[in-house]
Amino acid sequence: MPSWVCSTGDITTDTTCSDRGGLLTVFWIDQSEVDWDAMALVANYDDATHTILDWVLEVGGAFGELTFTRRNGRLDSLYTRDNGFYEVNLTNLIFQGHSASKTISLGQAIACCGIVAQIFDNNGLARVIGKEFVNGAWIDPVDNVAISRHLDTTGAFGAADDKARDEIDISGSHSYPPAYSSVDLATMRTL
Amino acid sequence: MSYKVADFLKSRPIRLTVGKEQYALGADVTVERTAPKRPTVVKAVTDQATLKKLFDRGYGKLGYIELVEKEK
Repeated sequence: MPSWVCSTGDITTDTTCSDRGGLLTVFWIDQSEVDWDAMALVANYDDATHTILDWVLEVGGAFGELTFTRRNGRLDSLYTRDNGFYEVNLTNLIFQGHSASKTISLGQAIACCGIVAQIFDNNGLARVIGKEFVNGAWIDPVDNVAISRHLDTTGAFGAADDKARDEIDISGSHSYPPAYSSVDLATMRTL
Repeated sequence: MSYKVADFLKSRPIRLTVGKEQYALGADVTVERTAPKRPTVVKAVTDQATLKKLFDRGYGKLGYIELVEKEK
């Protein structure tokens, strides 16, 4: 991991205009489906830039993609001195309409208590939540990442902004800021 | 000298990426997809050049790929 010791270097507003809000898409997987020993190789994780370079999956492991209403989703990682850790909240992932297959998929995902997600922001960057790289190894975060809320609602008749839908939040706690990933969208869709 | 995939990976193959390339070590890996996507198969790496590349990327140090001395 980067050396998380006291340092007061220059910090500036980003000049590349990577400030567009919201989420592009999310890929998720159960942490047991990733080979974390191999993920610790220098070739797969760049310690200096806190960035995952490549993924290594166990046999049978595959990322699923969450296709939600893009206007609503957001990722917040909030550190407070009182807590001493980052509260990581991926919230308001809204899936319009209902189907039995979607309900079953969400019900099954709720049974996962160690989700790892690569989250593509609309600003062109990608973050990874659900595992942390500390002292040369990937470890569980302070609190594992899991679905923390699922709203399965009919909505209200005649209300344009209250249609039948599923909403989920995914939450956990990290010791340090979530890592970045340089694995691009096209590659993630093959994993 | 030649490179071979460690025997234990035959029973628990892995699938890895190197940039946009994807490889399987130990055995062919079939990736099941939610319909309408089709399953994909990643073939197990057998060629020496790729095995060497992966060995040098750290999979040798990890014990996933072994360097074998040819018998005289």
